[in-house]
Amino acid sequence: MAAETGTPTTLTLKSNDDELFSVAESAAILSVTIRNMVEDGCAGGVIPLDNVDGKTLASVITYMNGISAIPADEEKKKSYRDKFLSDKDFETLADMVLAANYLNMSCLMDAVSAKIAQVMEKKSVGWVRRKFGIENDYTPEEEAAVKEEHKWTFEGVETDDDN
Amino acid sequence: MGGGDDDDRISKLPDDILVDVISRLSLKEAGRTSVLSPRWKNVWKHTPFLNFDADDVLQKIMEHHSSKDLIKIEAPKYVEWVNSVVRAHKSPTLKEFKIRFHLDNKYESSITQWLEFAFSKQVERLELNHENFINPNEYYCLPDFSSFASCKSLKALSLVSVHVTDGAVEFFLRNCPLLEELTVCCSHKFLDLEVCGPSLVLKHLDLQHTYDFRTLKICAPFLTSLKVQITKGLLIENVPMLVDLSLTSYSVKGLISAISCCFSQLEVLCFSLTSINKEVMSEHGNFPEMPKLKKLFIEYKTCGYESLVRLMASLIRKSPSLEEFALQYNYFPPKVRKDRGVEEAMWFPNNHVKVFKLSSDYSRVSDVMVYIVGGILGNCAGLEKIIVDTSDGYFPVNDRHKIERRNKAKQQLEPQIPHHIEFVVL
Repeated sequence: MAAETGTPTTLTLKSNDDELFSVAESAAILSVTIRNMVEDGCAGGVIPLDNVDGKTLASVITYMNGISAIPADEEKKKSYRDKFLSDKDFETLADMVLAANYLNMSCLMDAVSAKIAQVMEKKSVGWVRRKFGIENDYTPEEEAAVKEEHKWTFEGVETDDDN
Repeated sequence: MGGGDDDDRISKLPDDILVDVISRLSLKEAGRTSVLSPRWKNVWKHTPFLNFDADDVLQKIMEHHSSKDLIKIEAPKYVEWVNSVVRAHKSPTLKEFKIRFHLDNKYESSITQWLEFAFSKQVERLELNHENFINPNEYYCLPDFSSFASCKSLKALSLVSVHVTDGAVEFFLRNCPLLEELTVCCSHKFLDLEVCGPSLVLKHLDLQHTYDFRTLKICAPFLTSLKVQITKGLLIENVPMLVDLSLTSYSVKGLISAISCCFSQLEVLCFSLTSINKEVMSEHGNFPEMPKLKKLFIEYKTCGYESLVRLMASLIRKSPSLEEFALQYNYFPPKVRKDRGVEEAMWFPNNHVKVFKLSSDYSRVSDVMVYIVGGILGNCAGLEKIIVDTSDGYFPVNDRHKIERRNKAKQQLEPQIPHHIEFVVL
């Protein structure tokens, strides 16, 4: 461990498309999945991450390095997360949330989920369908039945679909 | 996020991620996702957050000329809403279950079923707030609590305008090993309550507007914040972590004796004085030192300008580290004599105070405000900001009146405030 040897321990992560990445152990253990491997002593060689591609893993590692460089200050961490996610398109966010889920990184998962929810907030059903390309495969009768069953969700609701 | 996306990536995300996303929306918005497509029909039913928020309706009721009539129309709709969600809900556990509406004991059987539902799903945060238009004689009574045997997961419990007995509170304290926050407001069934025990992990206790105690004993080693009315029988001991205290008291003497054990550790003190008697004036000097106090909030719900000045001065004098001072003052006299005694009493030099906030219903203007702001300016050389909140007051006001009040406050106070001090009128 870093504290014993005086030099930071580095881990090697391998994406599912065989890209290799070096990352400081202190940053990588933000992932509970990786931390468990380290604690169980299975992080000696290369750690294969079968559910994450190279492009996403590179992004996640940028996040790991960035956030672990910030001292324990929740506000600064939050503003780093906001900035980190601000320019990501939905494709990337979807990849990130899946990776965060697989790597068990609750802080990143929370941030990405919140970001996706933010897009849906105060928007009409039609707007959300268009924005995310959701295919509506209800028949008109089925849709009317679901709307009737969930009538309460439309009461007192104002949507803001302009932006 | 880019425009339309043909392959409908979002619908391909696993259920638990979609549930995580929609759990961050309001319950109505989450429920509305059911209409997106069949893939989404049941996703919302797995949300562990059931917050039955009807703020828009509550606001309408507040502003309505006959609130009670509107409640008669809206309450059954609210109850039906909760019932239909409870019937549809599928998640095995609940993080949050919040009811906030004017509901009286007519709905007793529904409310009891909701509680049983929430406890059967190991709810972590439970709120039952029946709001303020309900006559206490018609409050919902918390039923035989032994039926809530599965309350082990409870971390926060809030019961407002609900009849709760001391036995029920003590049951929850005994049976919920994780309970950190407890709020019981406006209940009228308490007699002798003990919030005590070596295994209590309670951090926040709020017993505001609950007056009928004969005795109240608080002995909680992890308690950090406490809101309570002072009564004769209040006994506080073994609260080494307590830093944030809110009290309502009829007398300063009662306050000092009740909390003598924790004055020196307080960081935030909110002190609401509801009536004045001769004793008050002579007791002011007896406040113990509060070396750690950073925020002081005085809610002065009584008349007597001189007495307020003396109270303010003696509290600030005993708080050398004070950074923020807030005063809420509505029962002021229209005219005040510029009395020498009062001016001399306005002496509490303190260089740490940075922010002063004055909350008052500016429906009328009094010189008192000028004197108070002048007193603060004269004593607090390090002051950086003055906030005047004119929105305070019992009755809701329309937008035109709000603007008028703000203008009155600005015109009255701005001339005396130096330019280097930020002046904000709310």
